[in-house]
Amino acid sequence: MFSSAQFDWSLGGPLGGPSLLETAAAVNAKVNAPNEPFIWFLQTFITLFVIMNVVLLTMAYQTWAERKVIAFCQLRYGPKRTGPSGLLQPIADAVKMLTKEFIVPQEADRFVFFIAPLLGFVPAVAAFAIVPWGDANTEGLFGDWIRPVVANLNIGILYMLALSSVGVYGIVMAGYSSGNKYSMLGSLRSSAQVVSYELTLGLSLMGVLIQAGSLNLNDIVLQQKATIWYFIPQFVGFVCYFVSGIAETNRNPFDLPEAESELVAGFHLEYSGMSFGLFYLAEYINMNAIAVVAATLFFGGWAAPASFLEFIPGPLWLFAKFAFFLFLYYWIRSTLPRFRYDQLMGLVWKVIFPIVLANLVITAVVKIVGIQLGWWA
Amino acid sequence: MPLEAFNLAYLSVVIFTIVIAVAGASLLVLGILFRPSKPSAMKSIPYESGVPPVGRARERYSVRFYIIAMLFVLFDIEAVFLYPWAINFDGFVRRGDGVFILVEMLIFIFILLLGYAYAWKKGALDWVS
Amino acid sequence: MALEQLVFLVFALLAIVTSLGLVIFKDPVHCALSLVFAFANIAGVYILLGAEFIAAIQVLVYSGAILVLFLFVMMLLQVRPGPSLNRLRFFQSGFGPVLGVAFLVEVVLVVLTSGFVLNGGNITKPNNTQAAKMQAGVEYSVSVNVIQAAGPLTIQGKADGIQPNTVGHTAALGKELYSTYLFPFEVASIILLIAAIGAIVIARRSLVSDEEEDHPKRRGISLGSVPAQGSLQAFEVERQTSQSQRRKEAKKRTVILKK
Repeated sequence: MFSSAQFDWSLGGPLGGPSLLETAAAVNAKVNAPNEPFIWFLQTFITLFVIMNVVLLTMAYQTWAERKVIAFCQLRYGPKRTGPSGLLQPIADAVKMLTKEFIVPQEADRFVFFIAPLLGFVPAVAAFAIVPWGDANTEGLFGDWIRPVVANLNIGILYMLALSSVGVYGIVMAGYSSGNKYSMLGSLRSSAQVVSYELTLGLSLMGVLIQAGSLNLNDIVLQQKATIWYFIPQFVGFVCYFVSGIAETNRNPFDLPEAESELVAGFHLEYSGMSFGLFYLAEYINMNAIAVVAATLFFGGWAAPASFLEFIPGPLWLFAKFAFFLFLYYWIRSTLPRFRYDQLMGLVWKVIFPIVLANLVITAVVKIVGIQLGWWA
Repeated sequence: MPLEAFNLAYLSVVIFTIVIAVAGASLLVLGILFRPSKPSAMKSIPYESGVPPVGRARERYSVRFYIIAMLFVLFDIEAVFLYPWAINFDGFVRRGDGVFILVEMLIFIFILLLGYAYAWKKGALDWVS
Repeated sequence: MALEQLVFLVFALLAIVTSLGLVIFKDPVHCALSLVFAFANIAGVYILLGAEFIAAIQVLVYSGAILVLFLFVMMLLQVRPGPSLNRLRFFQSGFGPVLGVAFLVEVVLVVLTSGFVLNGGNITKPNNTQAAKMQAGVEYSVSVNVIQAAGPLTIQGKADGIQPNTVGHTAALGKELYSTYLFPFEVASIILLIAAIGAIVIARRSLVSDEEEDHPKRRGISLGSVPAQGSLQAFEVERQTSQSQRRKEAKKRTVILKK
């Protein structure tokens, strides 16, 4: 198999610096940093395998939770036939999608039609690579076999925004390749909506960046742990982020692209079977990513709200905050009616955009004044 | 942070992306084993709520989509300038250059807001006029 | 073989292949899709050079914004696959190769003046990624030293144990941009302003014509079923209708002949 001799890691350091693994070990201050590339690869694979499965399972059971919560709001039962209180429903759905026929419409651009679901799915899951569920500077579970984060990137937030902007291609390509005018119109509407809200999604995080002085998600969590959860000083930014996030993921009340009464089903109208399933997965995983990043950036991520609660492990805290945001999604979905398209575009360009710019300037001014007057160190 | 340390993090991102792509593709392909495949001419007609389709799908669409995309590109580039500014802000303030860096960004934002105001005034932000 | 060289080779080869796809594919949407992958691979090369911020921007702005704009314009104009724009043919076949050769010469010059020299006149053995990395490493470490000399840039927080991970490429770049390169930064905003106004002025004409649906003198991007007089679309429609008429006449003729 691999050995150090075959992989010349020492070449990595410029100007005769330390090798890749030595540097990584030093930076992460890990107790038993692996000395073998093979072990590093194995750990990476185990970590990302676990993270990927957690993401997919969460998504599956989130659909169940969504149905239950909305049913509760509407005084219904929700799924209850498959398994105890419908707990096997997600599995039944998966089996159904796998066994449905894959129909290619006659005017479709076959290759693009086939890969468009992947273009939506891959960026959605890849966003979870940067979310820390424990302190990324410490050792993970089982002697670091499951790391606290897949990749502790310095440009974490930019990575997330870049992925969500690349996710547009799934929508555009699905609409284009279907050869159906409803799909086409749905995809144009959807992509215009996604790019507009993408802008405010990024800008609403500026206040957090000014306060934390870092793009690294783990650093931002540590800052919040040391000072205050950012949803208190950045409440306006948080609201703008969450509204933009709902619109960015095409959820109610901003689910215009799939407005059943106007566009049949929007950009994935012609998709069936597992290809449709991947769009469905991507939509929910995108929604989860927005929720988990909101929990990380505004609600302290894996950090406990108070020091006496620290005996509860970080992943549970992250999951609790994440579940809160999901509940917020369901609540909003079952309460608010759908927007009109002109209202939707007016909201982002005429309301949220000026607000996030004002929020940015006000945060900067308060920061200068606060440091001058010595409010905080 | 030394130069090389993050390369391993990016390597794991690349591996992660590849694994996801393989998993997604296998989900698509695996279905062949289970699903029926009985194509027919009627099935592959573009779906328009059961009515025979009228006209072509590749029609021309409203120019407003173009305007939105153009404005998005411009303000996205503005946002790109803001990220390094925001994370350096604290350092500048602590070295006593806070007002300087704030004013320079205010000038930048103001010039861009002129374009925003122009777009608003000319109705480029209104979807229905 | 070192891992980084392997990764570089993969990214570089994929970038070349997808760029070729951009040129070769006939359907413009396929070309755009190919370009998305090319940008992603170029971002990978940037990361190998240590420029993580530039890599993120490459994906965020080029793949995420500018190519979306391209796609919207393609769908707006309904650019057709294949050589439908006959008028451009001479321009493409005459001027294109000249430009191509010029770019090739430029690339060769760049390679000869940077990588070649850094490798100590040896272009094959310690390959170019190493040279580029060394160059990037030197510049990078210089800028980091500048920052550290000027005092800590990032907030350390009240709590102990916070790792100062944030002195990365982004912070270094921002510090330079907002102090040394202040004037180009402000000029960039004016360029963006000009682009915004220009886009609205050009698009507004067709916005106006959108409202006056039956106006006879529509120009620019056409929205209705009838393209603007004298535009490329009108030319295309005319060509197709004349072709179909000719075909019909030919059919008639054959029918008559058979009789």
